[in-house]
Amino acid sequence: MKKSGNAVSVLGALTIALSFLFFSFAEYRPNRVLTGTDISAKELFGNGFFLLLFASLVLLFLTVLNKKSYKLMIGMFILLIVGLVLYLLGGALDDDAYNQTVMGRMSIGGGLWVFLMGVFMVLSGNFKNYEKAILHRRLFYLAIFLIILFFLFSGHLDKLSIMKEFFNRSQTFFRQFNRHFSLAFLSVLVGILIGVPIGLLIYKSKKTNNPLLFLINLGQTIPTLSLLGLIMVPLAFLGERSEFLRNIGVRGVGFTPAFLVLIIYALFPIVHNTIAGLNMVDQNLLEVASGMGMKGYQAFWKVQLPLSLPVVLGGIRTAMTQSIGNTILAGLIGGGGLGSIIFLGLAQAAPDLILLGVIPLIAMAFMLDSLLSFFIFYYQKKVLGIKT
Amino acid sequence: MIKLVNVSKRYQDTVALKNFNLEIPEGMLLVLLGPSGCGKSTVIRLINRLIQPTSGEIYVNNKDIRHMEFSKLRRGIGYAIQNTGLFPHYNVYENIAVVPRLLKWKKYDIDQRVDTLLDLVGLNRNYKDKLPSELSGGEGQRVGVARALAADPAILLMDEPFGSLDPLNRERLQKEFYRIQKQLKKTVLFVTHDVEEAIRLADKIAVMRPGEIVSIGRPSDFIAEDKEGYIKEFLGSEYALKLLSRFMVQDVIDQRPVAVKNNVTVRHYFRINKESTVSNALSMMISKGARSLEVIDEKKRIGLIHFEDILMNVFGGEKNEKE
Amino acid sequence: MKKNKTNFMIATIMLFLLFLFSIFKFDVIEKLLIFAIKPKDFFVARESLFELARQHIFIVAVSSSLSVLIAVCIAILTRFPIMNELEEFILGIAIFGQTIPTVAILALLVPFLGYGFKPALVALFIYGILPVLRNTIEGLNTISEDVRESARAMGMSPFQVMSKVELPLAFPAILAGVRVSLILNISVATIGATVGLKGFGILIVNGIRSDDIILILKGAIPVSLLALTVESLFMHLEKKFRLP
Repeated sequence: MKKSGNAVSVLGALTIALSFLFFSFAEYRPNRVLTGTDISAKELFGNGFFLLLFASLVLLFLTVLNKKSYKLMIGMFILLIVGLVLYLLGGALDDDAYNQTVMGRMSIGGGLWVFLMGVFMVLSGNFKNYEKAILHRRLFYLAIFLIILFFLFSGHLDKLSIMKEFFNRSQTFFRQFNRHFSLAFLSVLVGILIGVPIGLLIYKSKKTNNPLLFLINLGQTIPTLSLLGLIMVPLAFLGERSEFLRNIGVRGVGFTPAFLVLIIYALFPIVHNTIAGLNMVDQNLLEVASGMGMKGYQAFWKVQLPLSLPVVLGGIRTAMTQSIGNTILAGLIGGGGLGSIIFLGLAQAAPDLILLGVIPLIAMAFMLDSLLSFFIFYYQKKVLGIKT
Repeated sequence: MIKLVNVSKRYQDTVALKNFNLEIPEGMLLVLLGPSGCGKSTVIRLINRLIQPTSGEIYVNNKDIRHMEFSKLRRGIGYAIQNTGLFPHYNVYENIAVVPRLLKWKKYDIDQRVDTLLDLVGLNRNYKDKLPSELSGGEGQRVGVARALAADPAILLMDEPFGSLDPLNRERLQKEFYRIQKQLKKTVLFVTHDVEEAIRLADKIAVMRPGEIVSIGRPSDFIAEDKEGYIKEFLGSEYALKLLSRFMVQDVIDQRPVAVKNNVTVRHYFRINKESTVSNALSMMISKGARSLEVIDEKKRIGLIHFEDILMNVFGGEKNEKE
Repeated sequence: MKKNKTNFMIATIMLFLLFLFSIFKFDVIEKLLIFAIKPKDFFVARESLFELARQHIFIVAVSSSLSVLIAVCIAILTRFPIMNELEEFILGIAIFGQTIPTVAILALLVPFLGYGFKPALVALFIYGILPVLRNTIEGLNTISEDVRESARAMGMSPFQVMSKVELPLAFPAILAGVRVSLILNISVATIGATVGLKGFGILIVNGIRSDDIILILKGAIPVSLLALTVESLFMHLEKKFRLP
């Protein structure tokens, strides 16, 4: 109670200060391929550097004191610092010294990542151990995200190397982004439509050794890439032999194999959680329900399903985040998605391209994860009346 | 020997023990009797230094335990608790052998010791290989007691060891432990909230209320004590009756010869075994409406027991002793 | 249900034999497959299947050993009261790490560590820690407090309590965590081919690129058998060490 959270947030504030002092915040390369020179925060931000340093020291001071009333202030301060960093960064980008050539690129340096880690530490250490802690924390994460978006959209950070990559292929980017999201989302949807009934079936059969379960476990054990390859074989075979199937999209590469593999991987958490959720509902409750005169299916719909929903939803949430990750592999087989951008970046040894693929991916994963967990939380609280 | 001098234990805002004083001489089984939460478990944990006192001193065998190293202190003290705390991954043999192994006994000695202890607590020697999950509640507790006695400690600390058993098993184990203690004469601090258990086992009883001892005495001393309202309330108004279970029929027997004809007694009596308790005898007298019962030793008649004797001699006798 | 007595020992041995067969005698499999699939034969791997297997297993073994070691140490440390504050932070990082896909981490490491072995090793290490950490912590938490108290009360030092009582009791859970970690490692090592890691993945990736199905299978079949063997082995071990 007294000292909780203090250590982590103090450490975080310290990290922020250190990131300004000792790490390179940006890297300047004369063109895409040559290695660049590191630029420190001081060099980059000029006078703004001292402002940032001062702000981080104030933050350090606040976190050390660790008074309850400071919590909100600390959060606001973090937002302020983040905004300041981004603003100064944009300003530095416009600086003529770094824009001598069209080919010149300024990319994000390690210092910014250290800075972000410090921000994360401060927020997680600051907002914890009280009732609305998680909510507040997530709200501040959202705020930071919005601030970043704001600076992105205002064109302030356009001269950043990663943005240059983006502008080079913005159409492709959006296309792949949508592709990625659709693939991941649809596969989970189908996973739910197939997986929940399967889970129900297995639960009803009451056997612990159900062959269906065994198959699904099997799918989870086999390495993702390998499963992808394995699925491609029969699909290619079918696609070659039958014109009809080829026309509806069954072929060895592209959308179909990726989609199938994603569905298979989505099944595992969904099926398992469905079974676990159904098992979790107290047998006594069900007896009471039938004792009161509810028929089998009534007890199921009115009692068992609502109560097992949080666990099932948890499985869907896992499936969703995993799916977003697995969809990257679609890029390997021509299925599109952010993976294709990432692999392009890997092939061309262009870190900015890699980042262009990875960052939106992580953002997507986090948004969906937070959305779903908030939904689960809300459901548990309002509908089931569970207090945290 | 165990001695607590002015021991206090305070948590954030609660006082668990307040100027607690207690001395247990060698060979005595003292029962610390009190309601839940009065601090009796705290006393036990202070003695083996699982927790530290806020103030006061504790001596074990005349040595201040603060000057003793934890492990050394604890290996010389046997500890038995309600849920046994047996290690699920060790079988019975290995569980009992824990402290002897810590003390680096030779395997031969450990083997001998385990066999001896299993005999002592009334378990078949082939229980050695069983896992705790394969034991019933009563069997588990016996192993717990055996484990506490394994390294032959001078002192035993027991925290409601029979509390989780059903009444039948509990009584059985109490009787057996009484027998064991009579044989081994350890210094024992036994904690419980069960008055009957205290009566069955104690040499002396210390009655507690939250944070402090109200009174100490032999079980029979508490009959006279009706001044202190708390004790009366805690021990219950049937204390005298319960105390009767401490005495056996053979202690109150009347062995004068009785009128016999053709090897059968003239008057018809109901029979009771000599090893039954006096409270069993009283119960039978009440249910049969008989003032006297015939005492049997393996079907052979050895005497009579009379209601008047129970009335006059059991506690009256003790009272006379005191005067 | 007597049917539940799946003998994992037998399954492990069989799978392992199949795995070995697939590495050393793949030409036999190839001949079988030719009936159904057109062979292409454009790509001849520089290394033999055996060599790739060796490298794949090597990196998985190294990174797994490291992650298990570190994860168990961290889990033990969380038992100390000092670490309680850091516990939520560590958990936060762990959850964060779980949301980021494996390929993303791999790709992110490339600018810093180059291609090939190094970034893959780091990525494998990071991913390998979480399952073991979570399972170890949970395993330690499920130990009844009475058992711990008895152990202390009998005079065991904190180290002895941990090594003789807590860890052995948490062992089945730890094994389960190691199993998940290993399977994950094998999978990520396969994907590592996209950043130049030598292993079965290369065959699969090249097979995809050159539309050579047999090549794909050359990589996919052995690695799948490897994963299944490991899983079967650990199921057997977990069963063996589980307390009735």
